Amino acid sequence: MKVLVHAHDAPNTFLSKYIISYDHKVIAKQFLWLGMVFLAIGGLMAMLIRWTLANPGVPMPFFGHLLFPNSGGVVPPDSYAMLFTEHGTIMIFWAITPILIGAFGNLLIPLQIGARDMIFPTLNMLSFHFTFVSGVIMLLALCTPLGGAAGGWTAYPTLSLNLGSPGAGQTLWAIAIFLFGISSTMGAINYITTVICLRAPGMGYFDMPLAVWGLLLTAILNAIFVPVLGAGGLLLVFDRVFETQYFLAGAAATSGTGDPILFQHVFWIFGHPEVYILILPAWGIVSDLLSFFSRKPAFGYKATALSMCAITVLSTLVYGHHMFTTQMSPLLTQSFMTLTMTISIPSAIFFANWLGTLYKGSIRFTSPMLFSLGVVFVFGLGGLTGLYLGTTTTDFYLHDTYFVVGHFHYTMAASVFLAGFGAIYFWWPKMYGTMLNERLAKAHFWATILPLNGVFMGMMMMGYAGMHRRLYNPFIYDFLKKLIPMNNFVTTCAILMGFAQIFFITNLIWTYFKGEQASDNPWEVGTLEWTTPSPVPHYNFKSIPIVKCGPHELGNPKLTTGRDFQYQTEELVEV
Amino acid sequence: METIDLTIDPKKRKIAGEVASTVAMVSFAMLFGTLFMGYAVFRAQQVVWPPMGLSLPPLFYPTQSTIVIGISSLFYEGFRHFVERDDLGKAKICLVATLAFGLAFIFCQVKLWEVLELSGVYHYSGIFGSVVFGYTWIHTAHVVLGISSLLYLVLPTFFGVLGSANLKSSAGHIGKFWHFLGIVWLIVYLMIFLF
Repeated sequence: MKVLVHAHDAPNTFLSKYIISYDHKVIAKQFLWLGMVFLAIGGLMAMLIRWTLANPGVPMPFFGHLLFPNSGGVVPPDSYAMLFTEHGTIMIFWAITPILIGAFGNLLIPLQIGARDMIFPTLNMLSFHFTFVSGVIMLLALCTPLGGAAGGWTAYPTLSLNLGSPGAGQTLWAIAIFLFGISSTMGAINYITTVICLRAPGMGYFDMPLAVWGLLLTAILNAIFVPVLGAGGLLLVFDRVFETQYFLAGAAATSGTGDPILFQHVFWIFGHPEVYILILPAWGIVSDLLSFFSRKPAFGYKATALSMCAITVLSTLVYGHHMFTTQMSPLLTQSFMTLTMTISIPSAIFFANWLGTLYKGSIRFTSPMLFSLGVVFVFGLGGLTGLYLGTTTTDFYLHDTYFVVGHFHYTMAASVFLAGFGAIYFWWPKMYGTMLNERLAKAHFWATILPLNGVFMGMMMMGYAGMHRRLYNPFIYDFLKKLIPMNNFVTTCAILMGFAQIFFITNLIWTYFKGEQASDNPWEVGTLEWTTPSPVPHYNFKSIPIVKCGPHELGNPKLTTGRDFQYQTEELVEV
Repeated sequence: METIDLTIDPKKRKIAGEVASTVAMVSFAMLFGTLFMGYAVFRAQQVVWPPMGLSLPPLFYPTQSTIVIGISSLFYEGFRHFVERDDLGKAKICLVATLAFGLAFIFCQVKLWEVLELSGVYHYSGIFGSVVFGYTWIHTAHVVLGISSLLYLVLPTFFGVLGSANLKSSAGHIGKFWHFLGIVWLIVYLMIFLF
């Protein structure tokens, strides 16, 4: 006897389309738009931060008086602390995660493994609802009498306790993070189970697109490490609301009370894998796109997949490099440093495979390819600069400087958002049935990538010159005054990068009104989603496909079909 | 109109349930594991435990809680056993007993908190009070979640909603969670109250 699954109607009404949707494609769109809204909010906060650093004490033009009337349009110090806290938190949890993991996880996993939907559609819907509610709580925190959270996105006690951040804002921050964690865990359960149980007949693990590999590994890390932050967040809420003393400062040195450093351990046990939680889907997507647009198979596919697995495992063992300056024992710092350096090995294999894929490829410089090449560049820079932070000797100097800010923006922000934009341009036809304008997309890429490097490279240089992060006005120190022009340059680049997004918004509006209808397979790619019509119909496939070859069968000279690629449903033509 | 086959092999469905519940258990285990790691750190930092001149609470309610949650787990196993054999009459009795002992556990926890406060240990009494209250609060919140899951089994057990196969698989998954909570309590009991 067979049992029914996924039996839900096509989303036709407002309610089923936008509120209570079980369809993975609709939930993917919900995550995408939610992520974009928060990306805009987080981006505007970044502009306020950059304005303050370039022009300390100068009123913000246009809406400064609107936002900060009591200080004459100048961002006040306490608001500055809230801005960098909320910017980091929102970008990581409510912009990157919904776009890369929520939207593309939901869209790609069922489509690329040949399933009709996620295995648990209701859990999927709840996962979005929890993300939405948690995001609203995070924004509401900004409206509380004493303002939003101001303890940094890492929320280290005592900054995040009542002592450092009085008021409800930081408490709501912790509650929002906890709810978001529940959402991520729900998503992880769904993703892992769907990949394990709903792969189409014939699809082994090494027949999956690398995007699915990235999403699967991300889900595994999410399931294991998000609850660690959940536990820390819960204890933080208890400390703030019930006056328990888990993280009370200084008390461990005397007797009877808690330990603020413990929170740092808990945070980074989650926090370091979180870097890979965010970046693994981007790596997977970019690995696929590089192969698709080089018109040749992904170089060292298995090695790439296994490297991603190795990085996933190693990412769980290196968190201590974030805490070298907490008077950790030298034995521990050296152990963490060695383990951190070990990650370079699979990362280098991975990166070399990207270059191997590009080598001698018949490269098509489409917009998704440009964004993917952008990821190769910025991730290379971000990865290499990480070595200095993973080494104790250099980290002692660079710790908590703008070098760190530049480094993690290269790896976590630039790489991930470039991959996200590449993915949006690439899979838009499957989501909406139209093609985004290529010319605008390419303009978007160039207008973004150039100032982007100005911003993050500039940050690293300022950090190397000794400028610490999170300072409201670093220029009260004489030795940093010479960095004012550099800060102006970085801020100008940031504003230019912000304005570059107008190309993207224009493209969305233009496509909505005048977008060209997409063919079923506009990019000429063989993975399963491209065997379906554009946009993908309800339940995805007329019948569950039978997979006969891998996802990157491109550029085979022996093909006689008049195409340079094979669908995964076709018998493999041996080279 | 073209019809689309929306069925899935029940074996695959069963495996999906097993995978999902196992992943969920790993997540719950990580949450409690983090709390226990924290406890180990707090404990290792103190010369004397409990610190601040406090003393360990009387073992009566913690021990009673351990016995009660243990019995509820045994009844739950009985429930699963009878559900597997389609003996719903006995399964109903076992489910009600599991629920009753689950509620009794919560009662014991409330009494424990009262006793602690009477002996001068509050949730703000240094790290000891924070750990004893906070950890038992978190565990009890999960027991409430567990009882809600047990209530989900009431309709299928008493009125046959969902069908036998679904009841069996649901009983299996919820059982994992219920026993897990028992194990967590046992660790809390041994770590915090006994030693």
